[in-house]
This record gives sequence, structure tokens and C-alpha cells, in this order.
Amino acid sequence: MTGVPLPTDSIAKVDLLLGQATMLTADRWDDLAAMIHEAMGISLLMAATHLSSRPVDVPGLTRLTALECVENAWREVHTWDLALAADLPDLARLRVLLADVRRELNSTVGRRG
Amino acid sequence: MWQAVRRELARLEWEAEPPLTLDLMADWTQTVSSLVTIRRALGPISTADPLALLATATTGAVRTADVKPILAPSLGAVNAALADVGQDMAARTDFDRQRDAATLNHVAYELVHWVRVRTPDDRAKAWLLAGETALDGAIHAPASRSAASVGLAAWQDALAAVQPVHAAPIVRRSVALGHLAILRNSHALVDEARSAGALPAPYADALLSNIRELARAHQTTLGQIDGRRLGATRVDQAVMLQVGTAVRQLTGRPEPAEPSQDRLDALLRSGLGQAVLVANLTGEPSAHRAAARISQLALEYLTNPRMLRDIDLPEALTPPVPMEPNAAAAREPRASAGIAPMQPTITPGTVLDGPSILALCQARDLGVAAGTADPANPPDSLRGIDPERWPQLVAEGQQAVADLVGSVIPMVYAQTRRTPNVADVRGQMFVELMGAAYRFDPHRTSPEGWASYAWMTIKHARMRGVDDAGVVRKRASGPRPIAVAFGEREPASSAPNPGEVVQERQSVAGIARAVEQLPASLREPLLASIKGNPMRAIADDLGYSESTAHRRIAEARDQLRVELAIRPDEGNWVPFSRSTDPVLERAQRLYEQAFPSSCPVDPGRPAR
Repeated sequence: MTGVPLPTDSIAKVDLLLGQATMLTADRWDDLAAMIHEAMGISLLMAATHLSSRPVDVPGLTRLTALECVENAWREVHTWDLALAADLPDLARLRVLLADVRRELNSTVGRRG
Repeated sequence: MWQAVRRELARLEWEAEPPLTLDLMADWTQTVSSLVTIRRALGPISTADPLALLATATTGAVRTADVKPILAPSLGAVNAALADVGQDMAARTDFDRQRDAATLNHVAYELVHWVRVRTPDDRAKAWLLAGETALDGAIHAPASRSAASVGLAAWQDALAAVQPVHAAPIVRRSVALGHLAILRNSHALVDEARSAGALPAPYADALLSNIRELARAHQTTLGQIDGRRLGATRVDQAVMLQVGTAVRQLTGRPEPAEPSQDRLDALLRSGLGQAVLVANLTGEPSAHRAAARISQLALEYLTNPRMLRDIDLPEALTPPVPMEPNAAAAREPRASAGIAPMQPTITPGTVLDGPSILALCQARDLGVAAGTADPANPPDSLRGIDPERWPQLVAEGQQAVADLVGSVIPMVYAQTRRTPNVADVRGQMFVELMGAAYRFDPHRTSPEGWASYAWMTIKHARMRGVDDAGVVRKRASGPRPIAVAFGEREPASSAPNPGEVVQERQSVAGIARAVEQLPASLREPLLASIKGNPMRAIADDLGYSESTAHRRIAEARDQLRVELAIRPDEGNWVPFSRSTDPVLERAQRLYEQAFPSSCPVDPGRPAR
């Protein structure tokens, strides 16, 4: 353990956000969906391993778009101390995935106008 | 082609005065070289291939420190017969790849077993057992051993584990999310196979449309679940751990060497991740039709697996460059074949520092690349390296994997102490560790993360409780699959100690006292109910309506529950043989008490 407190509430929020993003992209079959699923898999396991002590809510979750879900998750993950990498082995992969998904989704939205 | 090998195997067992060797391990190394040469002639070898694992295990066994030479019947004749098969196979193109691969696995299995039982050193034996286990899994598994099939086995195990709490919203959410990932992966692979002509178009189209329909049903399921109250209870944690572990395995990056048709084969054999079971768990009516259709299509595939044509076949059938048996053997790690001796093996349990692990991973990757690369078109990592040196790189790569495994071997012994069928479990764990050593990516975390990664791998292997051949491990006295502690207490043991037996007897007496203290109006219907009398008979006997009897029994149970409530510091033993998981059950009860509105108790269900 690193001694840095684990942001369990924040992990739970990321899990909720990426679950919602997965739901919203359930009709996509491209590589982007694969990346979202991988990120969701990471956050699901993280949330289970580091359980929040209280129920966590993301206000307006059901009104968010997939891009907003990913952006919010990305912001949450960026608030985590990098020293947590020892406790959260998939942290680096999650950061990379979220950055890639955000960029891809952004460009898709841009192309769609 | 295999007659000579069969004859020599029979001689090995039955010959009264066989020729002897002074160093069985040297003989065996040479035999493994021949086996690998044959395997190479059959097609590219992934790092998860049982023959690749056997080669690595042999490296580990041969380099175990202080192993004395073993006097035993010589494997020379078998080796010569195998070399002939390798030569024969290299010269022909009309062999049956699948049949020969199966025969090769059988021969290798028989041989490694023969060598293992003649090896006196326990550490070398453990390595050989790992190779034997890998081959055993390949022979008996319904599908080839692959990252996808391991992930799907974990998924199936998770679905079985969450059954006791199937009504909980967290189960519906986690299962739907995990299955969406499986469906997307399946969709991509089926689409690819269809485009390549590897699957009949009507079959692929039917599969694709049902996959999409089921995904829409999961979307509906997820849209109905209020996620705000999930993830806060013990039951949530238990479910998420089970499902999350499986989903993580399934959504990780596929192993580059794993052919896509192997992944698709594993998915189809699993009924695309147990679609029917998933539909039942999520409870969405629109999911059932698509899941049933997917199940039918998967069954159709099982009856005719040849409908999935080998899309990598042209590449695999390219006849390898003919080689002399000796030249073929020289590709493998043998000091006698001109390969420079490597660093002595590390002592098991040596703690490796980051740079050492990084160096081992680099050697491993170079070895894997050298083992599969085409000298005419080498990958970037091998550019500038003389192909003559590649066999040496292969040997160093296998040594690196053996060293990585060797550094964490004590974990296997720690995990398997006092375990039933210890040899089998250890063999499986060695296989898992070798796979992990091949997969570990030091750039994803840090090189120092190897020990944690290895630990998690063997813990997951234990938690999965089913080996790669699909055989469920006996868990009679093993640790609980999900270790959820209450308060400061350690998870339950499967066997009560004498103090706990006494405590249990006292508990029974306590229950009897609590029943006695109930008012007669509650005690009488409760006792009648415990005796198994139907509700109508109880109501008639006691002279009131059936609903009153029902209410009084429920009230009696509530009072007893309050009276006998287990406090966190009591009653840490639960019988292992209960039909449902007591930890999940208790967690479910706590959850229902905390959030009665989100998960109403079925009135028809008897109170616990």
C-alpha cells in the first residue's frame, strides 16, 4: 500500500459513469465500443475491490451523453493521485483508454456536426 | 507417420533391458526440441500453446539448481522417431493438421508424465507437472487453451456464483454490462469471419442480427436500473468482484498470438457467453428470444464445428523450410547444439528488482518474436540481429519466463498449503504463472508490479475453481471463493473448531429458549409451521383464517430474528454445505434492510 487514501467514492462514480457510457453505446460495434468496454471492465473491478462506504450518486446521470459520461469519468480519474498506481495496477491503462475514447468521441461528434 | 513413435513408446514401457542414459534431463530436452519442431510444422505457435508451455516448463526443470543427473532408460529412440515425424511433416502438405496436433499432444503428455515420475527432485518435478497439466488441459478441454476460453470460464463461474442473489439490481447491471462486452467482441469476430469467408454468410447474418437484438435488450435492462444505490453493500461487492474479474479478463487486450478463429470458437462453444443464462438473470423479456436463437446457433456450431473454416489456414499450411532433424533440434535451447550457456537460474523466491524484471521481459519478447518470425521479413525488434542468433534468443526468452516464474514460486506453495489434490492444483498454478509471465506488460504498471500480477493471477485461478479442462476443483476444505470479512473478523473457515461446535450447540439451545419465550399466539403457529404443516391446516387447527396464520408466523420469525440477531463479533462459522452462499445471503438481507424500496422482498418467499 502506498499510504495514499483510495478515492473510493470517486471510483464508484467512475464505475457509474462508464456503466452509463457502455449502455449508451450498446448499439455500437466498432473499436471505440471495445475501448469503452475495456474501461468499464477496469472500473467495475476497481469499484468492487475498493468499495465505497456509502451509496454514490452522479447528478443527472441519465441525461448525460456518452461523451459527457466519458469526460466526467476522465476528469474524476485525473483527480486521483498518481502514487495510487501501486494499488490500482490498471490506473495507467484506464487513463490512456479514457483519453483515447474522449478524443475519438469528440471527433465523431465533430464530424456529425 | 506416427507408427514408429508409437512403437518406441511401447518399448519404453515394456522393454526388459532398455538402453540407459546417464542424464535423463538432457535426453528430455532433446525430445522436447523434436516435439516443438513437429508443432512448428503444424502452424504458428502462440505462447499459450501447450507445447510452448511444455518447452518453458522443461527449461525451468532443467535449470533447477543442484539437480543431479538421473539414470533412466534412454529417450534416444523415441527422439529419433519424433525427428522422423518432423521431417516427414515438413515434406508433406496433405496432413490433417487438427488430428496431428491432437496426436502430438497425446504423445507429449505421455512422455512428460513418464519423465516426471522418474525425476526425483521435487522442484524439477513441479515444473514438469506444469507442462503435463498444460497438455492435459489441451487434450481434455472442449476448446484450445486460450485467453478467451479462460475468460469465458471465469464468466461462467461468475454467472453460477451470482445465482443466489439473482434478483439484486447489481446482478442485473453487472451481468448486462459484462455481456455487452462479450457481444461486441463476438460481433467483431463474426463480422470478420464472414468477410473472410470463414463462416457461411446466412449463419453469420443470423448470428449478427441476434447479437444486435440481445444488445438492445441489455440496453433496456440497464436503462431501468437506478445505479445510484449500487456498489455500497457487501452483496454488491461480492457480485462485482465475481463479475468484474471475469469482465476484466474478457475485455483486456487479446493476446496478439491468439488466432481470431480460436477466440470465435471459444465464444461459440460457450453459447456466446451463456446467452440464455444471462437473459434469465437480467430478466428482460425481449432478451429471451434473441438469447434462445443464439443458443440454437451455437448448438448448430457444436454439431458442425468445421463450418468455421481456418481463416489463418493459408499461412499455417505454408510448408516450412525442410530441415535436417539435427538442424531442427538446434533451434531449441540445448547447450550441445551450440547455444551459449545462459546465466545460472535464479533461486526460487528471489525478489527481482525493476530493472531485472524489465530485462527479463525484454528477453522474453525477443524470444517470442524470434520463435515465430520469418527471417526474410523480420519484425522491427529483430532487425539487425543475425537470424543465426535467433535460436539463442528463443532459449533466452524461455529462460527469462522460467526466471520470472521462479521468482514467485513460493506463492504457489503458500496458496496450496493443506489443499486437497495439491499436485493438480500446483500444476495448474504453474501453468497460470507461465501464462502470466508471458502476458505481463511492465509498461502497463511498473516492472515491480510483476509479483502483484502473479499473485492476482494465481488467486484468480483458485477463485475460478475450475481448471482449463473444465473440471471443477474440489473445494471441500479450501478457502472461500469470495472472501468477504464482516467487521474485523476474518472470512469463515470451512471447518468449525471445538469451541465453535460448543458455541453452535449453545446457539441451538438459545433458539429453543427464544421460541419458548414467544407468546403462545405466535409460538403455536410457528411450531406447527416448523413441523411442516400446511398453512390451511395450521389455520384450521388454531381456529383462525389462513392470512392470520401467515401473519402470526411472520411476526414470530421477526421476533426470533431480532432476538437471535448475530452481532458482528459472533457466529463466524457457517456450514459450507448450505445450498446458497451464506455470505451473499446475509449481505442480501442487510441490503434489503438498508434499501427496502429498491428491492422489495417477494411476499411468497419464506422468511429467512
